[in-house]
Amino acid sequence: MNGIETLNLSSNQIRDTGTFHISRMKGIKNLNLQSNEIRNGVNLVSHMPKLTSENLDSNGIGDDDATILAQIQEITNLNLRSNQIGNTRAQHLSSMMGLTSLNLSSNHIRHAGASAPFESAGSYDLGSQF
Amino acid sequence: MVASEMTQMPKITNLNLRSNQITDKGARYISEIAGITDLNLADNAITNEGALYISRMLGITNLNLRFNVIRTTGAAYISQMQGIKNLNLQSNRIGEDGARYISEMRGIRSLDIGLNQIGAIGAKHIAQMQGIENLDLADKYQM
Repeated sequence: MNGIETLNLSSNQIRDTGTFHISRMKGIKNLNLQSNEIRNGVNLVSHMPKLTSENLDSNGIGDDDATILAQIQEITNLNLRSNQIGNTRAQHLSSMMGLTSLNLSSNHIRHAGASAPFESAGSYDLGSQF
Repeated sequence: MVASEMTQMPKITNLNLRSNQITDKGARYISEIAGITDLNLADNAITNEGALYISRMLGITNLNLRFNVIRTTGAAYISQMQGIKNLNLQSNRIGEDGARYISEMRGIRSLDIGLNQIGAIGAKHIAQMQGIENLDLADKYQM
């Protein structure tokens, strides 16, 4: 099935082993893997050179996987809703310079980490409003 | 944290961070991201201060701040965002004065300020808005 550009496999039980087979479909541009119990299979999916839109909603993706995802520069739309991404590695996603849409809702992201460039900037002027 | 690093994402226009644990500090970082048109920060911990930061994001057309801790002052800040077309402030506590500020916005097509204790006077202010196509003032939690 080399001609396929859009593939929806949501709510199956693909798991990490299944992503190995999916990763061989090099022509896919839009991939929906929502709710598939994927935890460590992101590295395989990251080898799909034409991927521009990826839905990984409701899997078990953690910080390490988020780091790997960040290496995919072609993706413009990325949905990581309801995974296990925290502060530490979510920042790596910022290296995805081509992203236009990013969904990180329902993860474990807090306000800031120690690496924030504004940490040393002192207080932010709020004027006299408070 | 991610919010601070995201200022490096030059093409991002749509950002959804609903249901995380973002506070005013995170809102400050997010407000530094240029080019955002759709921003969803619902169900976080943003107060009036965070609303001030967000109000400086002039390109936003769709803003969801449902389930935060925004009061009257925060509503006043948000009301300065004249580019907004769709605004959701449900389940904050902006009160009747907050409703008055919101009612002064122009260009709003869709507005949800239910569960905000706006009262009859607040509702009267909202009723005077022009151009609203979708209005939700329900005093009842809805998913």
